Parts: sequence; structure tokens; C-alpha cells
Amino acid sequence: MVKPAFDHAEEESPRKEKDETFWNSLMPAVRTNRGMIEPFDVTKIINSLVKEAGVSRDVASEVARSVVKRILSSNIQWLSGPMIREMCCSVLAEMGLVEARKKYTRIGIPIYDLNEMIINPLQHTWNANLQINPETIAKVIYDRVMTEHTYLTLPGHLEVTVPTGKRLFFDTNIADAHLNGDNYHKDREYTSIRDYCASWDPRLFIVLGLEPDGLGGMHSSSAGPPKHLTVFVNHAAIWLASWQSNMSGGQGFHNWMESIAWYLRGFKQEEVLKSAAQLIAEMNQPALGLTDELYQRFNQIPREIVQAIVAYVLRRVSQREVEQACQHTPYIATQQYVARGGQVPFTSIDIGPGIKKEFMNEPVILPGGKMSEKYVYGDFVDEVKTYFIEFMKVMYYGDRYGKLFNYPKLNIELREEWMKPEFEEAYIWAARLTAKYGLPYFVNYLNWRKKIIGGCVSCCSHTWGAKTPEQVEEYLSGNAVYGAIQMDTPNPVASAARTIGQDEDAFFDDFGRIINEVTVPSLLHRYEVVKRIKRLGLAPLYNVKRPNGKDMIIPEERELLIGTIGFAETVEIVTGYPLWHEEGLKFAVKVLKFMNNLAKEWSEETGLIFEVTRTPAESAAGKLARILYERYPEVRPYLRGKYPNVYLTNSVHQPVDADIPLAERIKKEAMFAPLLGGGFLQHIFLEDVQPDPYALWKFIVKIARNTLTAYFDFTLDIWVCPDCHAQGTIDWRNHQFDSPAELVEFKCPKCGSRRAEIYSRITGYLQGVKATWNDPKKQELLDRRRYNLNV
Amino acid sequence: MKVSKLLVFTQENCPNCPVAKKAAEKVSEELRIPLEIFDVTRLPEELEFELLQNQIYIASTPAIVAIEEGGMRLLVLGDPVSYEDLKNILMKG
Ligand SMILES: [Zn+2]
Repeated sequence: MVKPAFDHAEEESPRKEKDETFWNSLMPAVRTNRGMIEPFDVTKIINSLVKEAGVSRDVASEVARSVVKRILSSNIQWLSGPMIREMCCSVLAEMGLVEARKKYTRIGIPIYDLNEMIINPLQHTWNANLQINPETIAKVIYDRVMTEHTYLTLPGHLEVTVPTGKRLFFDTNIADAHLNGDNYHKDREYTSIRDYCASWDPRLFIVLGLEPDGLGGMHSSSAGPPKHLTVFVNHAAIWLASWQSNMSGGQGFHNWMESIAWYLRGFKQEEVLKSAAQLIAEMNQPALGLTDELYQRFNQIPREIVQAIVAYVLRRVSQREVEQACQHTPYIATQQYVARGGQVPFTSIDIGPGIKKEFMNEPVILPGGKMSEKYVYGDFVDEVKTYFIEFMKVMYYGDRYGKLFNYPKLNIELREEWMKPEFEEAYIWAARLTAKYGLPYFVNYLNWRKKIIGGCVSCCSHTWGAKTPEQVEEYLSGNAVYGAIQMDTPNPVASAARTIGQDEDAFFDDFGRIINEVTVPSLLHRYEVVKRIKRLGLAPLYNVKRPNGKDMIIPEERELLIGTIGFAETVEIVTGYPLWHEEGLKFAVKVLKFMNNLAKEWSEETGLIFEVTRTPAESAAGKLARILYERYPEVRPYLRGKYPNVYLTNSVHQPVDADIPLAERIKKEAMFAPLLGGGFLQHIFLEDVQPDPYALWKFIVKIARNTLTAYFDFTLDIWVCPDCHAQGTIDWRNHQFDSPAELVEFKCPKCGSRRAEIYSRITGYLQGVKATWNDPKKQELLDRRRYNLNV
Repeated sequence: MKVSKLLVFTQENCPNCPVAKKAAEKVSEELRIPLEIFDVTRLPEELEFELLQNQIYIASTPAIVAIEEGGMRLLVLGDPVSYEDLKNILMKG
């Protein structure tokens, strides 16, 4: 309760002024954050309390007076602004003015922590995508400050006007719900200032050119639409990197093959050779003055050079140029060590070995936006197929030392129109890449998903598709921007823990309350944030116009994702059965349908798009488990791993260590895919050191056709040595690690270097285990049951 | 494979549903296979679960599923189907 500071404030004001002058005269000087030593001025404290904490002048005076008394009675001789502020906060808290304290407090970092962050930044982050470099230090400090800011500013009371015109009110403490593990609010360091993730059509820059600042190139530079293949690749990489700086999540491209098709025109082996023959014939004409001797010499020129000359002469793309463009792509994706605190941008591209059927008869959109009168996308099927193979080869051979490229993530699309013998060679290359590194992801359009138009995957492994005829038109015309504004994950294990021993209804009541009262307002909060960013022009790229005149980012068109985690544990607590048991599966489906119904209701209520999705949970799995361990001792037996490295099973997956046959695991996860409209990625952990690519490809098609899977990958664990440049696959039949700590001790099997790293899939991406995975995830890596395809 | 039942899934405003339904009815009569028709927007919970377990999801209509000894088999999903087509698909299994 607020105590009135002065009962007779008005009458006492002359005395107050006298008091203030008197107090000031007794006080030591103050080191202020303006970098000066100033005389103590109590009026400044009172004024700032009124302005910043929003308290009345009387309350402010009382707080100030208490602070002055404390300073005087303690005989402090050294004062700083932050000290005085913290003393005021302490008094505010004692007076029960919690909200005022939140507004008045200072966000900072203890000097000890800051020193530690400078010397050992990776020990101060759970972000598995961070590497060590000076920018990382900036990001770690930034993350700490902005995360604290988010906790303090996430509203306890939210009012939001939604597209249906309704004004919604929520009274809830989103920050506390995150801290006590009821709801995981993703990207806390960014939720006050950025949008989340996106998938783009490269034709946006084919038409518009490139201005990474979003301000007409005034602070960067303005590049026109790309006219050549290499410029296309450059623009593509810079497009994603500049968007990465404007968003917290992954950036990807859809319609990559259609977009690049025109830049490959004329790139057909036979045609180039035919042109070469033609050129040789022409050069042999006496008119060109070619002597017999010269002609002989000409025939000795290596074929590639002839091709290059021919291509140049005919203004066509040469084999060499395409190879270079293919090489350029992963290098430029992994060498721009510049995004978000010196990270490699988090990028993906959706590709397939041909042109999608809905594009076959669409006219090509030329640089600058003109529709081609000469070409439709279907004219370039051969070119893109050859390009696809070249691209797979580049990824297969890896970098200079043969190390895998972990970006861009390759989402290989499986579509009916390409399930033909002429595309098999291309797909086999994708299978080879899978067999070597476990690198690609397979996006399935062969089952119930075959009717999806405009389907794509974002780098964060969310899946999208056009939902209305207008969206189909946008997708075909290169104007589609897919993505989500935020993901929040309600924790079903906490609801199960709270209702242990009660019936299912109690669980659903509790879980529904978390979704409705925490998850939804938490998502809407970020929707409000993005609206504000646009209004204030804080991210100029958001307001840049697409070719169709719409803004790049339209908050109302972006998805609000309700994430899933810990279904395996929830089901066991509530039903007593494991997730792979029929009763377990039934309950999991029930929970998913319950979540979908709520998503639908909220979509109708707000006019926004709510979807249920997989949560990547590289940090959430460990953090939530740790909170559950402390908060609900009765659920400890259900948590995975060993304390302190306990973790929850990701999303609706079967537990990684479940001892069930591979086919059963795939099917018992795939059956959830249709109920996860925002996306669901399944992992197949391989034990084989070198699976046969042909058998693998057959298996991929079998999974795609015979199960409900939407999106899946094969995960191998690759070790790479930076000293002797050896690499290989970890053969788990001969390797034994007893703890995460032992994993960190891994040495190069060839030269013994301690710098050798292990790459594996932490969630929807590959990352160095030793350098970046947190301990609960390392424990999960050790617990994974791996399968042998050749048995 | 012995087919013990045909399940037909339709919904309102589905242009290809009436023809598919007729085709299924004719096949059912001719081969004496019991037939059951469902509105996909109001599926019984048990059936929906059973379909998922059999790796079937009715994402579009018309859809026709055969119940066989070994489980369920998806015959048609979202595509127009004639009596002849359906009979062929059924026999192929
Ligand atoms: Zn080595």
C-alpha cells in the first residue's frame, strides 16, 4: 500500500524547500553518469522519481528524505548516481511500490561479471550459435542488458488493439511466467526491438536491387538489380545478412531455383558444346584469316577454355561461371562473420532439382521487374538441374580443407514432378551429401502436403504456405514474405506437475490458463513491438515497399507461434504411459488438438494468425527442466538426463533414448506433423559411419511417401581438426563418453589436437558441440539412440 | 489384400466430392464392401487418431480409405476420381 508522504503537503512546502537546501549542504559530492562530480541536489532526485518512477511529488520527497537520512547516518563519503538510484529503489520496494521500483531501477552488470564477460564471453551465454570474437563480447553484454530490460518492461498489464478492431486486456506477469518456467518467451534479448524470422523470394532483389540500409542507400550504397549470375549470388547473401541484422531469427529464401533460372540461361552442356563446334567452324572460315597452323593449335586448347570463350562470345553463362557461383554461395554465407555479435548469419535456401510445376508456364520476371516475353521458368529445367548438381558437389567437397559448410541450410524439396528418372542423379547427390555430413533437410511434398502451394521452410524450421488466392498470387509474382513475429512455448510439463494425481481435465484447465493468460499476451506483446518499430521507423527495411507496393513487414500478416516442448515427459506424468505407447500417443494428439483449438479461437478473436509449431529449444530444453527440477521435486524422475544436466525432450519427439525401432520412431513422430501447422522437424540419428547414398535415397523416398512427415533430416556427428585438417564421422560403436565434461576433452583421433571439434545437429542446425552446446544439450547428444540403416 | 470397408471423406463446397462419392458407392455395391461416409470437418476422435496412426491425414477432399487386414490404405486424397480409377487403385493394392 502507498503511504501518504506528508499529510499536509501544501502547507509544508516552504519548509520542504528549506529542508532540501539544508540536506544538500550536508551531503558528499556525487559522481554522475554524465562523467562529472556534482554537488548533491535532492531536488534532482525528487524530480527524477516523479518523472521516471511515476510517483507523486509527495511520495518522491519521502523516498528522497529516507535516502538522505541513510546517507547521513551511515557517514558515506563517496556517492555515485547509480548508488543513490539503488538506494531509492530499495526504499520504493520497502514501501511496497514494486511497479515504481521496476520503472526506476537501473539495468547494469556487476563489474566482476563484466570482466568475466570480456575474458570468457561464451561462459556467459546459452546461445549455441555464438562463437568467440570481439563482437561476441558486445553481444553477450547487450544480451544481458536487453534481457533484463525485457524482464522489467514485459507488461504486467497489456492492452492491445487487434485487426478485428477489438481491444483486448490482459492482466498477467509474462516475465515472471518465463522465470518460473510456465511459458518460455523466446528471444528475450530481442523482443523489445526486432521482428523474428522470415523467408524471402530472391525476386524481391531481382526487381528492386539492393539497399541494405532501407534508406535509399544513403548510409550503405544502392545497387541495381543483378544482371549476372555472380551479382545475383552476392545480392542474395547481402540481402539475408542485412535482414539478419533486423531480425532475431533465421533468414531464408524460397523460389531460389526459379529466381536463379534466368541467370543460368544457355548453360547447357550440349548446347555449349554445340556452340563451340559452331564457333570452330566459323573460325575456320577464310574470312577470319585463320591459318591451318592456328586451327591446329586451337584444337589443342582445353575444352573448358573453349567453353568459356564460347560463352563469352555468345553472352552465355559458362560451366566455370556456374561452378564459381555455386562455390561462392556457401562461402559468402559462412564468411560474413558479421551478424548479431559477429555470428555467421543464420540462413537457409529451399531448393530442388527442377522448376516447380506451378512455375512452369509463368513468364520470367527480369531484372528491374519487367516480365519476359521470351522466357517462361519452364525453359530452364535443364539448367537448374545441372546447377543443382554443381551446388551439391560444392557442398559435398566442403571448404578448402574439406570441412562441411553449415550454412546456408539446404532444404531439399521432394516434389512429385521431380520423382522421375531424369532427376534421380541430382537427388542422389543430395543423398551423398547426407551420407557424408548429414547436412541437408528434406521438405516433403509427396504425402498429405502435396496440395500445398507456396510452401517453404524458414531457417528456424517453421513451415509456411499460401493460405488465400491473394497469397498464391503474391507467391507466384515474387512478392511473398513468410515468417513469424514471435514464438512462445507454454510448458505442459509444469501443468502436468501442478495437477499430478488429478484427472486430465485438471491438466487441460491449467495448461489452457497458461496459453490464454501468458502465451497469447506474450505473443501479442511482440506484435505491438513490431508495430511500434514500424511507426517510429526504427528498422527502415521494414517499411521498404515490395514490388507490389506492400511494406516488406506487415505485422498483421506474420504468424504468432505457440511452441511445443516436453510432450514425452508430459504424457508420462499424466497417463503413466510412454509417448510411444498407444495411450501416450492418444494423449499427445489430444493436447495438440487442444492447442490447435485455442490457436484457432485466438485467430478468430484477433484477426491475426496463431499456429502451433515445433520449438527449437536449444536453450529451453535445459532451462525449463532445471526450473522444474527445483520447483516440482515430484517430477524429477520424469526428466531426461542427469542432474544438473537435466533436459526436456524437444517438441513432440519421442525421447532421444527411447529403445524403439527406427520405423516405429519415424511413424510415431510423423503422425503429429499435420497437427503442427507452424512446422515440425524430425531427426534421424545415424550410427552408420558411411551409409550408402543409393540406399539412403530409396529410404528418403520411402519415408516421404509412406509417412505423414513434413520435414526431416539425418544427423551424423562429424569431427574436424583445425590443426591436421583431418575429419571423420564419430563411430559411436567405438566411442564412449560418460559425461558432457568428457565430451569437451575430445581430441583429434589423428594428431591428438585438443582443438578438434565435433559438429552435430543441436536442433534445426549444425553447430560445434565443444565450443557452443550447453551442458544439458551435450547430455542429450550422449543419450541419443542412433540407428544403422544397413542392418 | 482383403478390403473389409471403404471410408469416404467429403465436405461442403467440395467440387469433386459428389463424383467420388458415387464412384465409391458403385464400387462398394459391386464388390460388396461396406461403405461409410464422413464429413471431414466432423470426424470422430477415435477415427481421426486411427487414421494418424496409419499415417493418413485427410488434408483435402474427396478422400477414400480402404480398411484392409494389415491396416488402412489411402486410395484417394484430394483428387477427382472416377469409378474406373477407384476400382483400379483398389485392385492394385
Ligand atoms: Zn588433428
